[in-house]
Amino acid sequence: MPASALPAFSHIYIEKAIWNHPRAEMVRRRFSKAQFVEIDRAGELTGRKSSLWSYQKRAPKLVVAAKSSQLLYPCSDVAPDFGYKNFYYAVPMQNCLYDCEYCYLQGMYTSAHLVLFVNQEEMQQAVREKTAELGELYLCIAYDNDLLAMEGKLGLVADWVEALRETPAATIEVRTKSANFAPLSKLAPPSNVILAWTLSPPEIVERFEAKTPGLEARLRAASQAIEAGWRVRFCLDPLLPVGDWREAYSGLLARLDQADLWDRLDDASYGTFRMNKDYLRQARKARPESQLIQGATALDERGLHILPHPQLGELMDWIGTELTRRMGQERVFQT
Amino acid sequence: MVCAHPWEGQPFQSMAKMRPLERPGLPFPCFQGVHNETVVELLLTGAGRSRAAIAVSGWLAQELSRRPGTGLLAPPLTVANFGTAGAYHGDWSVGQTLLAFRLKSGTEGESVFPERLVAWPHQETECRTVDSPMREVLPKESVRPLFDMEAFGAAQAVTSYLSTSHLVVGKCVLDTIGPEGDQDLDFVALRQRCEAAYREGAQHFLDHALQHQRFLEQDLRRQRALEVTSFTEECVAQAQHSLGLTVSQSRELSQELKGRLSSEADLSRFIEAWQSRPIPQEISDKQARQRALAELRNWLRGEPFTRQTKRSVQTEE
Repeated sequence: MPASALPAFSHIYIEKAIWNHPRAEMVRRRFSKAQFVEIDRAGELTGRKSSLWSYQKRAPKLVVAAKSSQLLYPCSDVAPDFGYKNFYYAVPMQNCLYDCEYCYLQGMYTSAHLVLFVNQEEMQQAVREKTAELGELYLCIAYDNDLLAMEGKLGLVADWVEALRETPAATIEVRTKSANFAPLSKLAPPSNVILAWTLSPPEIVERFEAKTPGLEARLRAASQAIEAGWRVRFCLDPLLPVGDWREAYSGLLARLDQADLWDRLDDASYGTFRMNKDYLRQARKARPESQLIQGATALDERGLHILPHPQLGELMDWIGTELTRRMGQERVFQT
Repeated sequence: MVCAHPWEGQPFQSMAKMRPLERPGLPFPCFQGVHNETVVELLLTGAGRSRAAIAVSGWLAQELSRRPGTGLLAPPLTVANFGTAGAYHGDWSVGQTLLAFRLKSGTEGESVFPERLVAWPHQETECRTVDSPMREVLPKESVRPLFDMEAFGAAQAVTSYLSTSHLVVGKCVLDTIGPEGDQDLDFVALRQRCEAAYREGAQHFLDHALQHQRFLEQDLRRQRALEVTSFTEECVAQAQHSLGLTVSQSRELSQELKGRLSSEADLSRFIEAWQSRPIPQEISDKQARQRALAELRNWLRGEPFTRQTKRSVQTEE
């Protein structure tokens, strides 16, 4: 008989010091069926090299902790800055509900469990201070997670939107593959928040983006957001030259043409699969069976590992041309 | 299955119809049998965390020398520790069987968190491994712990060789601690009192441990990784023999092969193609060897990726 995995978040581990924090109490209320376990510090669970990513991904847990290290990080050039100055990111939550084969998080963290930080207000205050210091700030809050996928339970995107609504010099990007716009629909659309949907052809979603909503569901959510007055970005990233890639991406572009949202988007970005050496080394241990992770043996000019596919450049150029034709050069960004 | 005392292991011996197993070099009694078509081995460690750690380490060292592998490629072994434990009076009932979600060294030491992967329909709690039977009642806490003398030692061995995903710990409450506790009863009396409940708890625990074992065995990524790794090793050995590769050339070829093989939905197709390639005999000329290696790598890169569906159930909250 096949052994079925425990549902996600069957166990929730909460640091002793923040057991009574309002956000920890909120978690206990909203996940009332979970088994709650008191821990001394999150690292007891997530810092262990002896945990196995693949098994944890099949039954992920939630760890609730206080973020004691850095609250804001300057962004690396692996991610696009979309022409903004002062590019930073924050980590309100660590790790993601989804299980994308190409994800760099499996090289970044030793554990697949999600970590929710309770001190969101401190991070938000750090953003206000940094914005005041620099004059303007471009901030990504969903690089190391997919906050919108957990919005129904945790409400973090809404929390950040409201907290920084009156800080217009800070532009916030929320990257997602979720179809879960509904919890945000009741908010007044903020002028300084961009919801950025990662879109891939159905073949790629099916093959490499396990547990994620399909293209249609993501597109529906993006349309709803645009209709509601939110700023939206499309990210065709990572582009993967697999199978009949031209047919797959032609299909994607045709579907986006049909949706007819190009003029209503803030901008769009595109880029191929890439990963730095250290993350790749760790990811190869976590995913010894992965085509993308094991196969990324070529290096690009930045020293990042990429797929050694002979048509990779062609795919990049073609998508760049197609996006530019639809949106104009000033609204298209290559990563 | 890891138990301290023969009495604690007895239900497993009878459920799996075990017989003594000779493990040369391992100075701890072992038994082996079959339960629900799965081979179950029982290791009796004796009392105390050091003995548990030594016995489990020795057993794992033997087992992993037969079936090597680390990380996801490690054999899908479940090391399950079961036995009796004490609880504060009023926290848990005598004869109740609980699963441990946290193992602590003593009352203040470090912790190990066995990875909880499959459902356990009964209660779970923290288990603290102490060096002598617990008598003292500590101030009331939110946790209702159990106290045993082996679990943390066994856990240390398992996490050193394998991972927290390979560990399951369950305990049956034998006695209660505190002024209203069972300090007047001796071990035999305590044992007799909960014998039936202990047997029932052991049965539930064995079923759970076997479910856990199946979870590990049925991991599709692991199965795929094993196939890819094993064929990669074979191909690299073959290339090594004919082309006399250096260590770094072998490593690079191995990585390229892994990438290439992982992209195949059907490994047999690739294996067939690999085997039908004309394999050069041992090449002594250095330049010819380099040309042959370059040709081999080009051949590996030449084929487009084939389709492979990996998607599991779509979930969104």
